[in-house]
Amino acid sequence: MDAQEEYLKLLFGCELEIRAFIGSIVRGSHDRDDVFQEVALTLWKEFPRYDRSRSFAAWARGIAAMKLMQRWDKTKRLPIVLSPEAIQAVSSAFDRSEALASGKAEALEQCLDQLPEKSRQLLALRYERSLKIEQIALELQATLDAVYQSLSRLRARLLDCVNRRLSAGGAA
Amino acid sequence: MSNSERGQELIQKYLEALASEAEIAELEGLLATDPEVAAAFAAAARLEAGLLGYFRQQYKIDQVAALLNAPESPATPAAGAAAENTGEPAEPRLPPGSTFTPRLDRLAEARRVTGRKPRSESPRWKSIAAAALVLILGSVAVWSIKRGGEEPLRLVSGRLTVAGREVTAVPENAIFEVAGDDAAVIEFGNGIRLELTALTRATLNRKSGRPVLVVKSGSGDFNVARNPLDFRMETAFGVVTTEAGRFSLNIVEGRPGPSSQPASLPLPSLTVVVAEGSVSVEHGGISTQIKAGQQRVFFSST
Repeated sequence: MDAQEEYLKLLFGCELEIRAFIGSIVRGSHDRDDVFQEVALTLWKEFPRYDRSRSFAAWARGIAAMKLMQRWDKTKRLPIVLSPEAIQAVSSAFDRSEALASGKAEALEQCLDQLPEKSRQLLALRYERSLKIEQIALELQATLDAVYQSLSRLRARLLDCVNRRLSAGGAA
Repeated sequence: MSNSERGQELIQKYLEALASEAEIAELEGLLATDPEVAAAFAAAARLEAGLLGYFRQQYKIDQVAALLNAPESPATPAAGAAAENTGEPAEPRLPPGSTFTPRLDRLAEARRVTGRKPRSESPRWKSIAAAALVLILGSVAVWSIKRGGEEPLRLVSGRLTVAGREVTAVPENAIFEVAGDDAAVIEFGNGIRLELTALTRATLNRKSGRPVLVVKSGSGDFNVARNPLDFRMETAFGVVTTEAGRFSLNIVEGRPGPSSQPASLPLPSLTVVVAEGSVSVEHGGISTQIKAGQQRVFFSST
């Protein structure tokens, strides 16, 4: 396997993990894509220095965190919302829980499968159509607070379901 | 309220972009001091990314489902000729790394998850597909009447070769290469102007009267004035479309080399820079809108 092939394989193997990290700190899908592309290019440039005994995702996240901290602007707070200290703390939390991330996508699919149709429709409005809470409330003729609470409860329920499946080894 | 409960509350608000500056500051403090809150934040972020990935995937699968349910129509002679001359399928292939390619076999499952009914039980899709077909055929007919058929192509400057032989006109449905050191300028009568740099290899097809440029390698500048049919370009990295815009595109093929010097090798990629208007790139099952002044790089995952 040549270096390019190895790099791309590693990158795409943890793409969701890197996107999750960047997405939690950067606002706006275009800015998130920009940061991801910048990180991917930097990772490739730095690839000769990658220590293969380390997790690639953790190494990639470290570089992404550095990029985000460099771009942080205290006065604007956008698109990087969190402070460098918070970014560092989030990066460490991702590192500590990296083992839990594997198999999560499959577990999530199974958990979504168990949701009632109404709940899936609400999630689809939020994530498939990218509607804001106000727009969802308008569409469903519900109050903003009701939509917010429903989404929060759904997320909590999904997280709980995913964790239970992963700890029971039922994701496979 | 415990740190953990307050942390959860703030994380939910933060994810919905509803947190105030004071609340973001409070969340930052908790993240930096309480590993439990930081862990909850990481878990929530992973779930958010997972949900986005899942539902956008579903959206794409539903689009594919709509296509599969559309009435079948025979390939046009031009499309057939394209397949014959280029040795490639007439229909566009999904870009390498497309995330929904391996999931097509899970279409039935996806329909079940999203509550869609199977084809035979779903006349709604047929109606939509039929209506879309009528609309498309109608648009093409109106366009053809207005334009008096397909727009002529003109090689304004530069040299083109097909299989090593120089040609004087722009060939359709055959792979051509820009020969010599100068760029080749190609114009359509309807306000589309392409400037392809030396050594660029491409094929020009028409699908339903719409010009489709399949770029194998190379680069170029593209100027598409607003016209009834938008312009479409296909590459191994994704499909580029625009209704109107001025943009440039560069394909880096990338070649395997010694693994000791990876950073000196270019990554296979497609770079799109938009100067005016906007351009859409369909890459890996995701559509990205690129506006004037923006640049995007797309990598192949193979």
